[in-house]
Amino acid sequence: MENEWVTLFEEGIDAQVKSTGKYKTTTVYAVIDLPLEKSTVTKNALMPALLLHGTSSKPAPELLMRAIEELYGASMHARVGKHGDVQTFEYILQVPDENIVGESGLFEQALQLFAEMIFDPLQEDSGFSRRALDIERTLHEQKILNLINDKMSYAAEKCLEIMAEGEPYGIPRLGYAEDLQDLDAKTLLQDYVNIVKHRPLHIYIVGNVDFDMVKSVVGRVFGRYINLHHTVEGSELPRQIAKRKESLEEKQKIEEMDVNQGKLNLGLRTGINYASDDYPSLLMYNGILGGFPHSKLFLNVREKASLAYYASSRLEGLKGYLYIYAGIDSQRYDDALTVIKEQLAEIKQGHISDDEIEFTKVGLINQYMQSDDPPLTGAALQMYARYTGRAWSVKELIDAIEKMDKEDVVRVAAQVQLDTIYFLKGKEGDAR
Amino acid sequence: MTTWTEKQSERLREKIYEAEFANGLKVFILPKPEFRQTYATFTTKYGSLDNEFISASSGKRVRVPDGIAHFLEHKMFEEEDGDVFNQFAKFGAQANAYTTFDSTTYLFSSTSHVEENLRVLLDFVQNPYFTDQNVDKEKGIIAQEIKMYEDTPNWRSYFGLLKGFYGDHPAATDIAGTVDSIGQITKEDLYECYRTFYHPSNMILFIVGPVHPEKVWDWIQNNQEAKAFQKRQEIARFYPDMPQKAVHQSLESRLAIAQPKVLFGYKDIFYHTDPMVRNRHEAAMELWMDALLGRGSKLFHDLIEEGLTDQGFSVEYEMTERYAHSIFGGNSKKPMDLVLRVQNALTNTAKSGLNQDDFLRAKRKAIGRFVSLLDSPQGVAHVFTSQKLRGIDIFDTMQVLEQIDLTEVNDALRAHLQNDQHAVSLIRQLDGEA
Repeated sequence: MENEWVTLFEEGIDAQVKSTGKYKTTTVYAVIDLPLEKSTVTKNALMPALLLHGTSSKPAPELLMRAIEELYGASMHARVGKHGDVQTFEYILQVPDENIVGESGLFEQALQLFAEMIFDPLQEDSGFSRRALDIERTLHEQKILNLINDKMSYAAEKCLEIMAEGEPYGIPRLGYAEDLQDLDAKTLLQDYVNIVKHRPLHIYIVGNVDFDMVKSVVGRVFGRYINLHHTVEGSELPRQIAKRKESLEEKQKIEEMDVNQGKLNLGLRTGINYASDDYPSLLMYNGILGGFPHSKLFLNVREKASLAYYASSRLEGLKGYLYIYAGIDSQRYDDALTVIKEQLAEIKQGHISDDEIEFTKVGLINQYMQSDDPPLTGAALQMYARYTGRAWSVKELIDAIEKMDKEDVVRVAAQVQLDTIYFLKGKEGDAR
Repeated sequence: MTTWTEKQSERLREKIYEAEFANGLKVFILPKPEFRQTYATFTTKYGSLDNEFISASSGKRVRVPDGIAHFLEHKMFEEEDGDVFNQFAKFGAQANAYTTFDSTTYLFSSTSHVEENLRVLLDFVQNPYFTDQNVDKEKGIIAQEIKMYEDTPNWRSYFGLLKGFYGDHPAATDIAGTVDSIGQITKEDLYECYRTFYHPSNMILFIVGPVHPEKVWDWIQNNQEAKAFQKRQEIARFYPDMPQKAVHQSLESRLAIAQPKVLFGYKDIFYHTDPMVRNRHEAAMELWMDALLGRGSKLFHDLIEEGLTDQGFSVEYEMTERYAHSIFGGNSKKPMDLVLRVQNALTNTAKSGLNQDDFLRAKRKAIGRFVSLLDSPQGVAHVFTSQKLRGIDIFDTMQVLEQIDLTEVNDALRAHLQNDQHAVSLIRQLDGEA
């Protein structure tokens, strides 16, 4: 399914296109991979927001946004991402099919603005606009503080932070508020330009577009800013591995807050990640434990014990970390933890029914089949391949899942280590 | 034997099939041969607003506890022989359901076994099974769902604003009810609501994906003919009168958050029984709101520059069959300044009229965004169904948008800004200043 991608240029920048009549919107996605490091995380996290403050030709945020929206509601974003130990700049452009809205040249006009956003940001004294920096610095600091507003993701972030302490993966996606003050507009722009010029840029284009048209438009538009045929130097990204636990102690943290619902989050290490031959077995393990409504967690924590509205597990495939999360009554922490630990033990002991195996297999296969529908799945698979050195095609994953049996799951279970228990607990007596 | 009515849009490269079965069930199919997944929604025109009605069981007028439509949605997933999720799981489908103010939807998506999954969907929604025990068990689960929402600033500020507009009217009551109200629900209540609102003639089935309409017809026909339904009858629903003015102009509460969140807007005085007229009004409202405060507007960026809000600031117009309102807002360290700043800008624009360029940009954007919606099976299913139940066909959207002119949009803006219809909902930090 994912091999419908065609490379645009023989050598030089990595640009691929998937021509398909399936979509009425054309999507362009560009990614730059960076190592996730404490010293650079904050400034990198701030940069994409600055790009949206304007370009040389559209020197104000509203001028840039207006120009893009005038193209039949085309949209453009720049954001910072975190994938295991990798930090990314991700640029996204979506343009309605020009044949439908009846305006030829729409794609090229949109791509031009997209390229300007990436390569030609608004400058002031060879730096980013100082006004833009002031605004974004304040907003960024608030964004970091605002993580607490969504209790579910706050608890997940806390659990991750405790579990991955000392690893790049433990660095927060948005960086650190205290590192924002030292940033200056000039150095930031220099650093940004350095990254864009020297690090590989991966571009994916999906939509009802003709290959030759895209090739000439991309060549023309991007060629104004970068050398398309310049072979980029291989750059050092950390190879993602699944780290095992160092101490046998479980880390435990209980935080009290004035909330109506407690959030119980568990972090586990599996020792298996995307790079491993055993990755499909890990997918099965997660599916049986908590990936579906037929999974042990949903069935036992929610349906049998009525302890929670949600109780699931989620896999971080790059790192081989597994998270369990449930929203519970703060008074019932012990009950919930007991039931969750029982489920882990059940799998370890091989108490897995044929239905559980079968439902999980068809459920996973369905997810992978379905992954062909969103336009950017192929790009995500390539990102994972870059970060782990292991390329799985959807077909390979499906074939492997089809062959799975109980022993595969039990083998994974034997390796799983509970690392961290984090509980966001409501205060006694509840203020409201 | 096919009796589909086809509606084709050459420009959009889409064809939609429509039929009504003998028992009154309306079915719509949007074939998407290039997609892998089939996404199907089965929706009843019954939501949290519908608390008072003539019971199909007793023929008497009844008032049921708040949150019952949502409770019923949860309980439909239990059958005598077990959990419906397992039946879907067997055929590799992902299933879910959700309840709104005026509808309840059951859905699945799958890349294989579409016939089987469709059968499971139709069968479980058309076969209620409630016991005292399973009703009781669900109360703990839903109580946790309610508590989860109580901690969510978006949800709290949204319901605060609705309370401001509508007071005690069910339009402002939490869809899930309260822990107290769901505590009163019995299996008899559930059966009563089920019998009243789940007749096929009150329901819509929408299917999008790589399916053949002829085959689907046979599947549905065979499934429905094998079941006996009561004679269809009009459903009599009763609602309290809508308040004339916004009930509370300002409401506040507190949560453990890092920054205040404020929502504000106007309850709409516009009301029309003709869905086509409502559709056009909705489009006009959405156009000025986006033109004036969307990401491409000057004002949106001014608000950020002035330190009044962040990029999450948003605007929305919500319209049901019975009421409508605008919502503006986002995070703000100076929430009341934000409200005043936007109110002033709205008043000024109402006086001067919207600028032609802004209007055209918003119009083109609305057209483009509608086109993009069609790429999302899930999105199109939800929007199509909810609008259909309100008498609106979204495939008329392009035409409506192309016809609408600036005068109409300016009129909608001017008529909307009534001071006594205005409300503000503010969520402050626990330790914030008073």
